[in-house]
Amino acid sequence: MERLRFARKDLLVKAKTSRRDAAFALVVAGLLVAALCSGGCIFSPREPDGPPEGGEGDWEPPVTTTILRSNLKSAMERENVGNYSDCFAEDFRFHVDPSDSLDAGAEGEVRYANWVKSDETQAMQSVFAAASEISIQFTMVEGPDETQDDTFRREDYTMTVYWSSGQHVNEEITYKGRATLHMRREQSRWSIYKWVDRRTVEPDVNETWGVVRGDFRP
Amino acid sequence: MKRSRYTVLLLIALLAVVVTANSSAWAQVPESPQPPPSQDSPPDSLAAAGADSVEINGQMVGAPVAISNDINAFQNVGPGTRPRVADQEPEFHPVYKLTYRREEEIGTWGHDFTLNYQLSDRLRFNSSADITIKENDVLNRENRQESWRAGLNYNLTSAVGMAVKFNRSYQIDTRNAGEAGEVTSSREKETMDFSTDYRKTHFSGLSTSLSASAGIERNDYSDIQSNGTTQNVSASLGYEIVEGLESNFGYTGRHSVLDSRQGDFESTDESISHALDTDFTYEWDQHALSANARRSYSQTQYPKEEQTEEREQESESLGVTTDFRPLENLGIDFNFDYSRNQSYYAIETTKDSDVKSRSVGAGVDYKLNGTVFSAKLSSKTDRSNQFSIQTGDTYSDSFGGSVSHSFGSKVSLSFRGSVSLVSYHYDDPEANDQDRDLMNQEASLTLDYKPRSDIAADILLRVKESQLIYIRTTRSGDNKKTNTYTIQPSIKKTFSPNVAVSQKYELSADYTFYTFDRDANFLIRNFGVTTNLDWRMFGGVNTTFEHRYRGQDEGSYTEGDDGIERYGKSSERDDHTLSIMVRYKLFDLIDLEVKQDYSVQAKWVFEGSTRRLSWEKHDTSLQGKASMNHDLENGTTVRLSVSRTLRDAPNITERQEDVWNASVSLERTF
Repeated sequence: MERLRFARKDLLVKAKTSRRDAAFALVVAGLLVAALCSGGCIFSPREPDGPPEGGEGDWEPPVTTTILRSNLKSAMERENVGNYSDCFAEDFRFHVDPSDSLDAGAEGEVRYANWVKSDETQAMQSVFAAASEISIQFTMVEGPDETQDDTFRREDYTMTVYWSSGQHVNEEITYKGRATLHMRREQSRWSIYKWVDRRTVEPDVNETWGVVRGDFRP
Repeated sequence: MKRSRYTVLLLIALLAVVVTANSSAWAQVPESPQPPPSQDSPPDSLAAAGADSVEINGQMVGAPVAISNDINAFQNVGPGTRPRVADQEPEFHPVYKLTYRREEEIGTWGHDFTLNYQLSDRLRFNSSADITIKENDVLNRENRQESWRAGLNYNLTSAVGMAVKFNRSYQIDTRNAGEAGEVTSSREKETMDFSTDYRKTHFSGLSTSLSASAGIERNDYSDIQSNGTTQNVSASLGYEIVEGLESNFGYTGRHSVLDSRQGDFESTDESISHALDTDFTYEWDQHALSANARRSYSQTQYPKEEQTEEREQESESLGVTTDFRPLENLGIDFNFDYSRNQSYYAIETTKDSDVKSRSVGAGVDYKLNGTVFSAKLSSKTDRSNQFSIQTGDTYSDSFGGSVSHSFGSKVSLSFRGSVSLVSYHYDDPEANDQDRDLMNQEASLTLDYKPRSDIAADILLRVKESQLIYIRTTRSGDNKKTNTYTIQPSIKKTFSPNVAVSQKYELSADYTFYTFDRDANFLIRNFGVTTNLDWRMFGGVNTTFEHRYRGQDEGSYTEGDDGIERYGKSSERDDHTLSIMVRYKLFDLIDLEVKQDYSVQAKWVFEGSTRRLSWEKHDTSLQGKASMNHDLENGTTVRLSVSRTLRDAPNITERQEDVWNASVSLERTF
């Protein structure tokens, strides 16, 4: 009899607990629904001012590493920071030429340290703000193996920038170097996750793209 | 003058600490009565403190089991006691490690040497030297990095310590070595510091630490040389105000004066920095509340283009985090963060910035029987003043949620969803037309099914949408939306402990829609199958066969005569790769691996309704690899790995046809 009474008490406690759990489940579900509803307000992108007056888009889905390089080139030349940023993976890292870091003196220790995607985007956005015209030529030195999902391209680049403000205002400067672009395919799209920048074998005639990045790192 | 004054003041302070520690801590030791053991000073801790002994006036004053208030001030008898060396003969075990790694054209040598020696129970010597040399045969470059460290640490008491440390780092990068166009860049830094520190942990929940150091520094960069003095101080206080409520306060400060030279330009550069931080943590029942605040200021001078650059930086931050568990299976958390970072330059004023950031977030997780819910909402606002057309605001909002449920041991299901919006607003839209919104939405469903112990299957369904919206008309030609739909089923069947077969499918469609240029709309479709067979044939022989197929077609939308846009395929591509890998352990010591890949890639293009082969590539590679890890009885460890890849394919360089990768590591403890 005593045992039955305790068993009944246990059942009552369990029933109360499950009702309380159900109530909290409802509260959680309500919070989720409320958050989703509020999401409708928070997550409303703006409407553009109108149809384009400038050039039309030339960005292609980067299903090959060649298209990715082409997107990078056109984003630079059209000074399009959104498309430029889309060329890089979220875990992107930039590795400067050791000589560029050493030649930056005391500043070099922090100028190129831990360079991630947000640094890349912000630095290039500042370059776009200071440059009135950019042109880039890539020459492939070593090709990728696109049968793998992780590969690299080695490219010699020549970048010419006409500066409208900053240290070289009203000057046209040519930058040269060799970039090893490590790329990864995710959901059929390629993106750059590591950029190893090196000076060319030629004596120091031109600075590298890495130096431009460092000059504009916020 | 200023530099000398700071150094002298700091040395006096160091001396004062040492003298005070010596006189008050030890002068009364022989006369101190022996206190009875108490709960606050358990016998073990007391014995640890009593093990201290020091030489005073040529006599060893040992085992100060008597503890007075003065002694207490410079001794730790509880948690926080400095680690002591047991009474034993100090051992001398230098360690040397030699490594060599060859990756394609880059060879890397490494020499690491460590020598730590406990000279006595109070005195310890630490030293290490690391040298790394990278040689690039193709670019004719050599990069050498050296790091040398040596230090002597002396524990005056269990609470007071002194140290002298020497650091040297050297890096040199040489291009076109030994040729006419040889160029070198280098950086060398040497520092020497004398320091003292005091750390005391009280049983009352109070802990304090103070440290001060003074030293000299020398820098030699490619075109800048500097040398001078440095001083550092730091202090921290930890206190448990009431049970569960802990607080910490800290301060660090640094000052340096360096005489610098760049070309003909000479300057005296003074730099100073202060940082204050505090944090509170309160824990009760299963809940927690924590807050932290930090404020720092620094002023740094250095030569820049034969002028003195002065960088002034100020930052402050505040963060509050709460974690409530009103029920055992319900957790709710909130967080608030604020920060402001300002940087101003005397010469490079274009780098001036003032960035303020505020963020709030909330999350909830709930477990009900076999179901787990979680959700997280966050919002962040950045105000970035760059004193240029880059000045503007960034708003970032995100929401993510997931629900997962297990239906017994055979089936589990999970659903995840997320949405995020990042919005860039610039103050001067006339000068800066990069105002844009980036919106991402993703939903996925995963089902895992294990009907039997030898069969496992799963399927993933995912829908993703990304939008890039430029607001200004000069940029809106790039506005686009990308939708990706993916299905990935897979199955694995284990036939015996030695044989398993798996197959994975991937089907995806990737749509890109341009808002104002519909002719440029794109569609890419992918289909892939990976089939894998793992077979442990006998003994230590493992074999893996794998076939990968990937098919892809792509095209754009063109408007027909009826005004309706239809998908027009522009190209197709097929990739087949067959891999065979055999692994074998020889003499239970050396791992051998042989892998052969053969792949065929072909692309067709559509010209009207005609399908024409654009190109076809065959790629063959053969890789052999041997590796071993072995520990010898004399304390030497050997690690070896060598691989060679032979490849035959069009459009590869001569160097890629035969690639050696090797690494050797020898570590010896003497």
